[in-house]
Amino acid sequence: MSVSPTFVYGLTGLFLFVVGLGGLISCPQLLRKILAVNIMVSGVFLFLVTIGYGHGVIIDPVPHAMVLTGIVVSVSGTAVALALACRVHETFNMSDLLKRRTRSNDR
Amino acid sequence: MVVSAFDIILCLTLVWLAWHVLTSQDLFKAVVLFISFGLLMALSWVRLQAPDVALAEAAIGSGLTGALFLSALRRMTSHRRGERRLDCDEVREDEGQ
Amino acid sequence: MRCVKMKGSEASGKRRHISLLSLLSLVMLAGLSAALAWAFLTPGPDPLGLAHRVDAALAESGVESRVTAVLLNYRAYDTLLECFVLFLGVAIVWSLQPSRPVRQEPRVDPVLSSLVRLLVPLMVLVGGYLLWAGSSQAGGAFQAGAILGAAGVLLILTSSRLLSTMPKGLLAWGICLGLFFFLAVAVGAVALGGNFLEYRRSSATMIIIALEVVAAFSIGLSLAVFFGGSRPEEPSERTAAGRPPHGEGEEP
Repeated sequence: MSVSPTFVYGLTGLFLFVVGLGGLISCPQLLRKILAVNIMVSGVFLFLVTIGYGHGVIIDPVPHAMVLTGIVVSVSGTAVALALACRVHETFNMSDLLKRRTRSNDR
Repeated sequence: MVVSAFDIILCLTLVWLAWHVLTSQDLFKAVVLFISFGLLMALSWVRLQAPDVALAEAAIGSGLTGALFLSALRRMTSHRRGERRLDCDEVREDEGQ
Repeated sequence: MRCVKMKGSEASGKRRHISLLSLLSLVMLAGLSAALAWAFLTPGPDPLGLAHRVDAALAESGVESRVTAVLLNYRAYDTLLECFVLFLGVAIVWSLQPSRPVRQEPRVDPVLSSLVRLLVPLMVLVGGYLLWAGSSQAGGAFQAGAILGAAGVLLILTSSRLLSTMPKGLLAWGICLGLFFFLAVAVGAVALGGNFLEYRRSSATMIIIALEVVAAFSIGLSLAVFFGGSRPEEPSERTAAGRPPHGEGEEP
């Protein structure tokens, strides 16, 4: 039995999505959350293009075009999220917040 | 295309890199790993015969996104050393109790 | 995940609670991945529905590249909305950040500046090539825009005040240009008796090339502005912007 590339890359896309979701849930830093969302997005793109690949005979260009649009949209979203995160850091000083919270838990 | 060892190693490396982006202690290291993750994604687009996506991913997905992350990281860390505003001290007091 | 576990080991009081939480999320994620994998591996209908239709209509799309045909002809809606997303992103980034430029060292690494002098013309050339190649092979407005944006990022790295000294109107109009041109084409198609964003077959090639050039310019400019961040200053704001960054006067 030969493994098809659709299988390998599709499963990789799924795992990237799940790993990114886990990071989004569990990591406390905002920057890391944005990285996690980017990894999730990469997983979705990989999955889409893999579906368009099919059996490698006729390659569907529509998922490619969707992913191209999606890459530009995701970089816009990342830029907005990073601007928000920087603003939050400047206003609330998140690192101190985290330190305080863990210290108060120690007591 | 038949799946070669290259594809399997590429996929495993992608998942491994994603895991380390999310778990490495140093944020700078995480961002650099994310940039290399984007470059490997571009490689996998080429393997899936999507050269258009590969070009865009190499330029935007790893290059520009990485630059955005690095500049944001720099702004956050440089602010930590700098002065603080008054209102955030109040918030910190509330949060600390 | 390890992040949570680290936090848990620091906070001894809540350690058990947090590890329970991380265990729960791990179980949830494992369930999710199992469900997704099951859905992926279950044989469904053949997903290759659109490739044949794209190929069949390629002759009347005006370009030879299938991806470009999809992006700028069949599904030009997507690209129009994407230009709108970029415009929104720039608006949000500008409104979130102070117009005061980020404090930066005034001197620039000589290696960087000479590298930029070498690279930027080359990148503009590569961007133009990708734009031109986009009608028949891999390449197109997005890739060209990305390369132009990267060139803009390099320029911003060498002179940090490049964006803030540019006239604000020029920058804003440059970013909106792609969106407005797209909308003009769409409305023009309606005015000429077609559907929204429907091109005549005879003029499709010219329209697509013009759209690509304008969209690449706008995309590149928007991406560079994302990196540059701070909004260009109004002349009145510039005097009232508070203390200037040290070692750097408020030169015009």
